[in-house]
Amino acid sequence: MSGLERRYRVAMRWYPASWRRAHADALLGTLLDRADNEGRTQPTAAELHNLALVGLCKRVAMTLPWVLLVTATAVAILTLPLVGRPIDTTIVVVPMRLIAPLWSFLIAGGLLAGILATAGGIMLWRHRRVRQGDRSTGPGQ
Amino acid sequence: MTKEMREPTFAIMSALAEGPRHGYAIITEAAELSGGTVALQAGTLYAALDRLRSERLVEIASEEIVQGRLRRSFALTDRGLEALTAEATRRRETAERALTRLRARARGALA
Repeated sequence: MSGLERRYRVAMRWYPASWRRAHADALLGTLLDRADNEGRTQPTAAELHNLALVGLCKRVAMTLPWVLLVTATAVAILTLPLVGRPIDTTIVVVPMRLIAPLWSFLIAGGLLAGILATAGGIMLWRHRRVRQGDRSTGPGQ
Repeated sequence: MTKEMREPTFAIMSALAEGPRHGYAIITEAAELSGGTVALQAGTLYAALDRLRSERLVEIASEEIVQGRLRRSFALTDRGLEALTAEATRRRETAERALTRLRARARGALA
């Protein structure tokens, strides 16, 4: 594996593993074709940014349905106590009813932010670890 | 096909109009066909191809190993060919309407 190929492969770690299994070799081929044509042995900054951005978007697109499912479940559970509750005093119930959905949204929002932050943290950590691994074994050129 | 087609999509599909092309050829031909306005990064190209394949406008035509690297070629599907034809026609008609008005203005200025 050339140093250039290795650097592209590291950059492609932003993509979800399932996407990489199906398409990484084709994408790598295109990146290498271009580098050859432009007489480069290093990736450009624009290429690396683009791979990070598109890869991250793919990850979000892949995890979003799951996040939405978790959020919907959380909202359903949190609003469950409100269902079928008899109205005793308007003074207590009306503000409660106004606040309750807000609470569930806040908690759901917190959950969502937490999941995204954790996913991002894990990815950054893995990315850094791979880079460090690269450095310790030296450039492959 | 009432949905508007964006510039990069139009350039990518135009690059495939003549026949199948591999990734780097699509990048260079899209740039050429758009007069240099569509400068695609490989990541963006593959994201667009993912979307076009999911919309069944583009398909993988072939794969071969050249000098140890995978070269995947893409082609327009029948649906893609139809969509590109419709979009190119729409663009020509829009441009013609604009030119007609410009000619009318020029005539008005002369009169």
